[in-house]
Amino acid sequence: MRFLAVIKPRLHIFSIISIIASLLIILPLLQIVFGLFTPASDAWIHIRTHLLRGYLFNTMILIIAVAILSTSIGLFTAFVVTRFEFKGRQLLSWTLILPLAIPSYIAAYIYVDMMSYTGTFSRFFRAIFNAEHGINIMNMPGAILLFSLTLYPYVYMFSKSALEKQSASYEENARLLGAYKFRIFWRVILPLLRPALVAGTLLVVLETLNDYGVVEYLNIRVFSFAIFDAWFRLGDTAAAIRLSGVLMLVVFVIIFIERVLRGKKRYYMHVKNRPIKRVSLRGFRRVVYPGVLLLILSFGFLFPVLQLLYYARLTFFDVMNMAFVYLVINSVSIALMATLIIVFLAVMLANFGRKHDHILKRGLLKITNLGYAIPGAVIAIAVMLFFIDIDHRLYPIYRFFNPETRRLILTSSLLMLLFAYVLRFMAIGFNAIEAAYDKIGMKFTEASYSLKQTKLKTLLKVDVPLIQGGLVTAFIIVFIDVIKELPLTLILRPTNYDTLASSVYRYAREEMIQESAVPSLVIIVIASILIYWLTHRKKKVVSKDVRTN
Amino acid sequence: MRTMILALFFMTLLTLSACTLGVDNDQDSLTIYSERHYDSDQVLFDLFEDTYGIKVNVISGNADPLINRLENEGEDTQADVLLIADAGRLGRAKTMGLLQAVESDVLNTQIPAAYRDLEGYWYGLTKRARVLVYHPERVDERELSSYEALGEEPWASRVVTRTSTNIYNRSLMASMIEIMGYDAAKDFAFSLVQNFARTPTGNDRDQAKYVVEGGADVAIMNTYYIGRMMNSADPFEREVAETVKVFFPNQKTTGTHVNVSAAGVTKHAHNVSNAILFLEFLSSEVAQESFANANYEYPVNEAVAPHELLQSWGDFKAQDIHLTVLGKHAYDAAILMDEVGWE
Amino acid sequence: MYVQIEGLDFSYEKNEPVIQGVSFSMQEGEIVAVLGSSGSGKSTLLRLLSGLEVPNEGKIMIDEKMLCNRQQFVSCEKRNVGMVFQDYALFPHMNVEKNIAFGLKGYSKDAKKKRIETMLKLVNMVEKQHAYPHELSGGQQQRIALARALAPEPSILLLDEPFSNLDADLKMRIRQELRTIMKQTQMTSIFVTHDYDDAKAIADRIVFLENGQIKYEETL
Repeated sequence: MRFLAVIKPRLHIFSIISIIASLLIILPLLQIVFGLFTPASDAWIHIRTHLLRGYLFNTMILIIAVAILSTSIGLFTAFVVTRFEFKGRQLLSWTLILPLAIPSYIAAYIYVDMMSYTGTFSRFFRAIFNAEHGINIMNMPGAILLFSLTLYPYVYMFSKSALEKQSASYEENARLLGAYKFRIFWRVILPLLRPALVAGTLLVVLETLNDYGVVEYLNIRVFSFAIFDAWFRLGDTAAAIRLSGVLMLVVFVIIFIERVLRGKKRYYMHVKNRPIKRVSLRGFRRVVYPGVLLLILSFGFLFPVLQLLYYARLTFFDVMNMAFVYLVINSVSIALMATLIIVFLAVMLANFGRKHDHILKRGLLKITNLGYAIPGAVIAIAVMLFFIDIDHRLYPIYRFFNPETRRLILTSSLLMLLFAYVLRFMAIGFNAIEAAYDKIGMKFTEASYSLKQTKLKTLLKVDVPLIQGGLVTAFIIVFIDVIKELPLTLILRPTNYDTLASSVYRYAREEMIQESAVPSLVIIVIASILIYWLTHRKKKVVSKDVRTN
Repeated sequence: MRTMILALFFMTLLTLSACTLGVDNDQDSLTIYSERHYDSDQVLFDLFEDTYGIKVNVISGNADPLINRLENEGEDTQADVLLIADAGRLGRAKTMGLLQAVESDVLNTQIPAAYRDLEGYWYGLTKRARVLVYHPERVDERELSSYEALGEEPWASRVVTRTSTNIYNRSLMASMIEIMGYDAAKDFAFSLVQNFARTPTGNDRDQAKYVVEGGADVAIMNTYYIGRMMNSADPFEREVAETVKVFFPNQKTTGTHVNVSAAGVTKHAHNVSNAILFLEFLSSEVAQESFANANYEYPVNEAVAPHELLQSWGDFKAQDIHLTVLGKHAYDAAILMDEVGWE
Repeated sequence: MYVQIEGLDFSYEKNEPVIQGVSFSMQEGEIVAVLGSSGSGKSTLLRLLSGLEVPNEGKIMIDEKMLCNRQQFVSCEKRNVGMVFQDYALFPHMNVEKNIAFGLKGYSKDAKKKRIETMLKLVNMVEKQHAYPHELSGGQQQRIALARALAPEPSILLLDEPFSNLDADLKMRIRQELRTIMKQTQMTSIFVTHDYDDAKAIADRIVFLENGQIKYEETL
């Protein structure tokens, strides 16, 4: 009845941008949902009878094992770094994030090479242990190790920040109540860490499900492999869409189970935050703990990078030319563009959703963030079909300006690729910015409104400076993700457009691992520098004062 | 000030990036969707550009996504030429109505009939044979005879090859279906899988390495990988390539499986004459020299001699089937391999 | 009447009503305390007056200007309502001067400077002009928040639990100060509190709010 009066004060430019953006994101995804209801094709029946069971089984094994292993590594490293004092702790505490700079597919290419008969590791083992056979990592255990080694930093980062924030009073209380160290860990520290562990592990699982490069190279028959297989080998888009429907179901079940298990427990309560004092390591632990961390770092980062450096030295002059310079410029500029768009839209959406006051709005935001749960393969199909459809609809307009025009203007343009990146990585930017908004709460914004400032001025003068940290975080992690991204880039990039990731893939596919070293290293160096920035930027004094209520 | 510099930097990047983009479909350009992306190909495209003044745009990608893209783009595609390293897939593109038939006397003389589509939908440009690679210390050449024999008792746990998703194996199976019929081909595939030394994994080079490593005695792989390993940047790969020996199977029976890199003119090509000119150029003696030999493939143009390495392996008898059938049986081959448990 | 509120209803989506049929009016320059326990809806009442929330029903009129009824709704930034937040919400990235200047729209540079000076004198904080919020004590922060809210000459001043963050002995002194300042500026003010003593010390009139309804009023 008072619809206008209720809606009007909320319908400002930010809401409009947000609503349009989320609709644009939802529409292509709807196509996938509708695809589920098309009649079953022969290929689908073939997949269902011969392959589906294997896909499900392999996918389950892979994500469960990767989740367990990466969570263990991430938790262990985070615990050691936050609770113990030892030489080199500072250095390790940020370098342990570096494996994130290596895309899983590059790790796979280089590890397979190192482990192959002619590879560095195999020759090393032959020389030292006189072992006849190398270690074959082109199988499920190999994939599990590769994913865990490159993805554990997600768990590490979340756990580390949670452990640093965890107040000493819980632990001291537990000790006063007579609990032993072991018990304290299992009954107090771990349960309190759970939200962080779940968040980190969920990211690991989603990244694993999204990957195509590794599972293709190692021939691990999981869902993203199956989707590409159905799409390309069997030439059946509908079957590919059905498979992705099943995959999405798996993701939702995982998320749902976590929600149910969490139940009504709360993990955050405001307790005066007194950081825990780090204990100096003694005896054999002084060597063993840092040693294990160094070993993890070596396998996750140092060894692959060293091998790549060696190959880069061998092939540098074959690969280095003007085209390569353009490759770098392309990668950086498209990542920059995608990142800026994502951060901008994320600010709009976060602003739009700050007051979770309407169920429709909540739903809209949830769906907007769905992209991250959907493997690149599926997003690629959806975006491609969506853009062709748009072009057909816009054709009369094109013709109005230029009677000779082609029909497909937007399809296979840079815009399409950008759109796909936005769809896929929106959630990452959004979550970083939403977290920053949560931290400052509504009061500063409301204070600004009460001082007669417009929404735009409030955003620029009050919100943006206060969530600056969140903006930088969003920028860095989205940028790293885009520059590493493979499946979308491969399928949707415009004519004559190559990026570092696509060229690495191309070389690896042509079985020229040595030649792939230079572009791989450029990706890794860029990502590493950004990680360094992320971990070393100065926290401004102001943010300390932002008290939460 | 800092914002200004950042903005300036960003603009420069964008402009530079835009320079690499953009395809003009004027008279003097040609757009190629290519699965091959060897640096030697690019040299050849540049040569074509310089000779005829026709700008060549290349979009490279995996074969199936390219075909899929061509299908989606319909009459609006920018592609004039589709270049794929498998005759089967070009057959599929033909069936899907993505290619058009072109006639050219030059092409017909330069390319033997066996290696082009009889209706002119696609033309083979380079040949590769799928051969057996063995370790001379563990296998006597006389033990080897045919693909089929690898499914027999003596080869239990001694054979390696890559996965069934790989197009080379799929086309091999498609050719077997044509020659033996579906059921016999399936029996063969089944017995072969039983003799695998390991679950299929890795690329062609890895199969050769596994043989040298001692995990298996014979690998099914493409000829040119041996050539490329011999020329690898990695000294240890060179060592592997020099250790193994190449054997052409089925010489006394049906012949060795051969596949081609081939190209066709797209149905909605903007510039058919340029496209034909391009195919003629690629199959000409001048181009074949580097197009085939730089990658250790066999040239289709019989006037051009193969690379010395290939010559050292001697002549061989190829399967007496027309390559069009690879496309015809591609789907059946995929299903068949799934059914016998070839991973 | 300077302020007229009639039949105000409000509820958060799908929840129990928070404000039910609240009506009252105020004269210009009057100071009214809204007294209630936590959950009585007193903070929500302020948010409705300031335009941060939209009522389901009811009418708000200040200084002959219709701010909200069935047909229209003037949003927060256009209402000319000053507000002091419970924890002051001083912008941490701006110093005292900038905080006060923030609401001064349409002032010339000189006028702005003068106004800031006046406000700082009013709250007796001239020497802290360049300090950042985190360098100020709780009482000082509150005074700056007050100066910031008063600077744009609002038609009404709303204070949300102004003393809840202060120590007991400080509170006594500041209460007096606050009343002096408010009376000095002739500012029509509403403040909400849960403390009867606070209300008695400052207000001309006390409105008792319980479960979103006005129970009774007491004129002092």
